[in-house]
Amino acid sequence: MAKTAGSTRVLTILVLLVAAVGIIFAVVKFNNKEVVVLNKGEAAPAFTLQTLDGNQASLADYKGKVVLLNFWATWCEPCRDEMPALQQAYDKYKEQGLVVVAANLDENNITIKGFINQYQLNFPILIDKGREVALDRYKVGPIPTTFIIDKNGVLQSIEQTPLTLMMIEDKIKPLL
Amino acid sequence: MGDEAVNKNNKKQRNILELVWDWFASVKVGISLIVILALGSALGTIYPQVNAIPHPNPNFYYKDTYGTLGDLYHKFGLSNMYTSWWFLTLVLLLGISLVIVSIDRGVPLYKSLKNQPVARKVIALRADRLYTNKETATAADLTALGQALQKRRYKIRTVDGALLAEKGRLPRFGAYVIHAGLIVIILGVFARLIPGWYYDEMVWLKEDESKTISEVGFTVKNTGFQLEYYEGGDRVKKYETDLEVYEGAQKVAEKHLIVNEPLTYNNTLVFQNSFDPTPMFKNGKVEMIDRKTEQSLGTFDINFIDPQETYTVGPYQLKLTNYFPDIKVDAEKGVYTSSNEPYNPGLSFEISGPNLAPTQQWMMPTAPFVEQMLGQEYPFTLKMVDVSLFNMTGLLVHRDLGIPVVYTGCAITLYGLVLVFYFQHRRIWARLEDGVLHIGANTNKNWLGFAKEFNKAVEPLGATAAVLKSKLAKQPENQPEPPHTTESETGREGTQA
Repeated sequence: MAKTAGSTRVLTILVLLVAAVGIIFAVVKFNNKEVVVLNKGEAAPAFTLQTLDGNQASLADYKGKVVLLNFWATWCEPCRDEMPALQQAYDKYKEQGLVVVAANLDENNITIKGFINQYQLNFPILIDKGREVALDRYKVGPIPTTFIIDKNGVLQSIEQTPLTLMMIEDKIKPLL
Repeated sequence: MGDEAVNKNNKKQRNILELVWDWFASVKVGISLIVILALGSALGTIYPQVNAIPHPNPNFYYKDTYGTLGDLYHKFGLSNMYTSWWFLTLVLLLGISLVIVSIDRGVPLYKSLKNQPVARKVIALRADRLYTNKETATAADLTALGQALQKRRYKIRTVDGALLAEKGRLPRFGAYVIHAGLIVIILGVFARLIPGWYYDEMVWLKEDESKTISEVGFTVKNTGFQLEYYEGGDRVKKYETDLEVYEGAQKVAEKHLIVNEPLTYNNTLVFQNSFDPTPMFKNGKVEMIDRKTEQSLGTFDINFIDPQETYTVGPYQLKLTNYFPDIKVDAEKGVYTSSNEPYNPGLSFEISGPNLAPTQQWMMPTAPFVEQMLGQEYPFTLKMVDVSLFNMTGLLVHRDLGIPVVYTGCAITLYGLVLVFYFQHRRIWARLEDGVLHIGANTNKNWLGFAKEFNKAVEPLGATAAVLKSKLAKQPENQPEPPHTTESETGREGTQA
């Protein structure tokens, strides 16, 4: 090959190779759509949701308390399984500053009310209409997902399994 | 010393890049890449790809359906081949090779054709496969030849006593036009990586439900879905959706969607793709009957998607105390709903009224036997007298802005193929020397056709018709520019002079 070409060739080949490597990276990224999640230590995203009786509740309302924010639905079996544990934890630690907040993924009021009666729940239940808080703000994948938020509004723990009272105690005791 | 090291380093780098350049510019490498890609693509069609299998878990599917071979097929990644990194790397290598080959050969060809001399040596003209001459010629003959060729749409260049007539220089670059087309196709395929250029997802809509798809920037709303079966069977005849498209609150498009006739909006297609065969409850009219007197007390309406809490029938109040859209009754797990969709509603009423202590009563429209079992003591019968059901429609929202790019690439490639197959680069040189007009000619293909045209142009001048010399008699000149040498026109003059 003629050796006259010099820098243009070098430049061309570098540009092509960089472009190719860039494209491969883009493909890999495109194929493994990364699951976005919140991380411990981040400030818990603010929200305002309807309560069952038609009032509004915000995360800010619980400032100064340890918040156990649970996303759930009545059709989700593990959610049903952990509900008694959430109620026990609430009963046991509410005096010490724990509040359990259960955000339902947009079911109808009667179903939710019926469930509350069935399971004898008395902690605040919120309704996430359109699931916007769960999906967009808290990046919830599977449910139940539980966020434990400390007194300063910082995420201390993100649990994607059904919780037991012992697991909850382990997480919240240092924060109370 | 530092400088020296840098120099050495530069030189070394330069050499490596030159080697890379040579590697990509090699025809062998290009052809090998094409062959490997062709074989690879063929391998990918032996069994279905993962995106086309009717099973959520490919790890089991291939083994169960195709045995050990199928399992190996999946394990070696052939089941997800067209998006695998190695396949895409090969495609990109081919792309790079196409660019480099085109620069490596096309640029020198362009330069040499641009700078080609009008006057060639007589000895070179005599050696052309088409050659003739006219004795006792004058400058007027040269002009006449020029005019005759101009009529045949040749471009004429003249210098003192010499002429070059040329036609169809662009077809000479046909191969590079094809390369450009292929590169555009490859770019079009990868264009889906640009955010917003590609979207392909299912959307499930209940009746009157709308969903916003932020990736394509609009909202789709199902205002009605029809499902028809053939009589007396469960074979589906047709399924159709009335679809409305909104941007914000404004309706911007609507269409009665049938299979294979998508709605197009904002460069996005919305297809009727499928439906949920299990119907859901929408509304129902319930008649309340006193079991003792067997008299109807009246009716009430239930909305199964978002039911209201209280109903009044005659003197009685019904309070819906619990609602399970998709009820399951299990010995261990109790009563629960297994989904949020009203496939199988279960309603628990508390009925109160005159002379009646509030009583609980279940209603399960799809499981009246459960009702009967539970309700031996019920004072009322809650009978569904009218019900409207609906099926969820499944729409495919598809956007691929790379497709027009791919089609453009195909058009360019086709144009290149036409140039290569149906057009030729024809050149005729004439030179007046010592009263003799020497005329020689060259083309890259279709010599017979060219010979006819040549003779039609030269015979009116009184020159004898040229006879096409055999290919064997002549050396490499007819071959297209061989690799790794510069354009042969200039070379020809040198070697044959």
